[in-house]
Amino acid sequence: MIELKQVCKSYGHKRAVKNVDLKLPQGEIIGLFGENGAGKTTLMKAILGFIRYEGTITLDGAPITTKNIARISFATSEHSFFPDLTARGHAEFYREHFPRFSEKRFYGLIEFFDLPMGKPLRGFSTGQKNQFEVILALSQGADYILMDEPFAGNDVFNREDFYKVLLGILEPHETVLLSTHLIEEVSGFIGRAILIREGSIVGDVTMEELEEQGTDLMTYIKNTYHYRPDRVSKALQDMTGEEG
Amino acid sequence: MKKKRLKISRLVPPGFDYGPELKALCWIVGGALVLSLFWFTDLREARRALFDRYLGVLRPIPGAVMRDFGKMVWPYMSGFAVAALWALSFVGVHYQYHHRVSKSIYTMKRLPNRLELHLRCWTLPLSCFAAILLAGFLLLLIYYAVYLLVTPAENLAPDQWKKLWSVIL
Repeated sequence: MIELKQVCKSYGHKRAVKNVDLKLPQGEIIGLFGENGAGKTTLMKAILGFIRYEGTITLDGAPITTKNIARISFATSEHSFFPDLTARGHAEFYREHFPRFSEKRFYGLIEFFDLPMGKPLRGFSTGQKNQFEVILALSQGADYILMDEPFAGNDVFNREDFYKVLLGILEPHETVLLSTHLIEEVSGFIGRAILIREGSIVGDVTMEELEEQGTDLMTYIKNTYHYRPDRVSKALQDMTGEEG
Repeated sequence: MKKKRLKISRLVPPGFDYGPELKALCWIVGGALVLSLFWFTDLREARRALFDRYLGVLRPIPGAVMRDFGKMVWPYMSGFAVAALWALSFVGVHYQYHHRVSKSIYTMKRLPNRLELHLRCWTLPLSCFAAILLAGFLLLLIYYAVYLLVTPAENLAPDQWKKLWSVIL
């Protein structure tokens, strides 16, 4: 389990993450939702040790170091592949550095998405780059797969394919923490939703709990964020002077 | 040849095309070598200054002293210093590669072997730096031998080797 205790992160005077307590057990698909700048990426970067933070983050009770970092993978919309390396070259590199790298999964997904093996990544389309980024994260052999807006720039059909593949290939011990704005698209397959706002966790609910409450994810998020449905019509009325 | 390239590719950032880097370095080292050869014209002039011509015959000028080797050779060897520093500057290029087009720095920072990033950024530039300095030093030794060979013992100023080091350092 990844456990965050009282995690804080500031950039200058701005507090990006505030006193976050979170437990991410194995075998869950978790959605991480929040507006731009809410702290989703910062939280993931803190887990991966890319940034300094206050508080503690542990993996099965131990700090995340070079000894256990291979148990966490990362796919980001910024992309983390090597632009001048081919897909085949990436497979070789990952095989060398990540002992549990799954070639079967890697080549299976490459074939499924029909990605070229011998072309440097810089020559891929944006959609292909996103696909490859996620393929690497899924093939690393990690127990915890962190995905930060991995489908930005992909068309809806492409994304749907991915969701299906994701559900089909994930093993029971694998956890996915998926940060995305595509709430409705992912609501069908995530088991838990975490809401972050201005650096604080403002909501943490399982889909079962929502079902018991007789509500859906979008309604839950709107309620948590105190979304005012009349704000659009009011704004239009203010701008045009017409009655809504 | 392919095997050789494969080996070097493990010493640079993954996928990095080190070919242009090495090619540029070869040109600079070649330039440094050509520049160093001009030292021979200086050597010839310095040696000529030890003699004067009397009735068509060269005769040693009494008390004439050959110019110090270090001071004479240093400007001509500076090309190697420039080439070595140029090679070292590739370290920055290699680190920068991990922020270009994508953020492959994230992958490098996630590796179980944390040294991998630094090994791939430093190894080739540092090896080239050392190789260029060594080549320059070996050339310096050859030039020193030539200097001693062409300078009559009575015209040689003392402590040449010591003076050379004081110029280098």
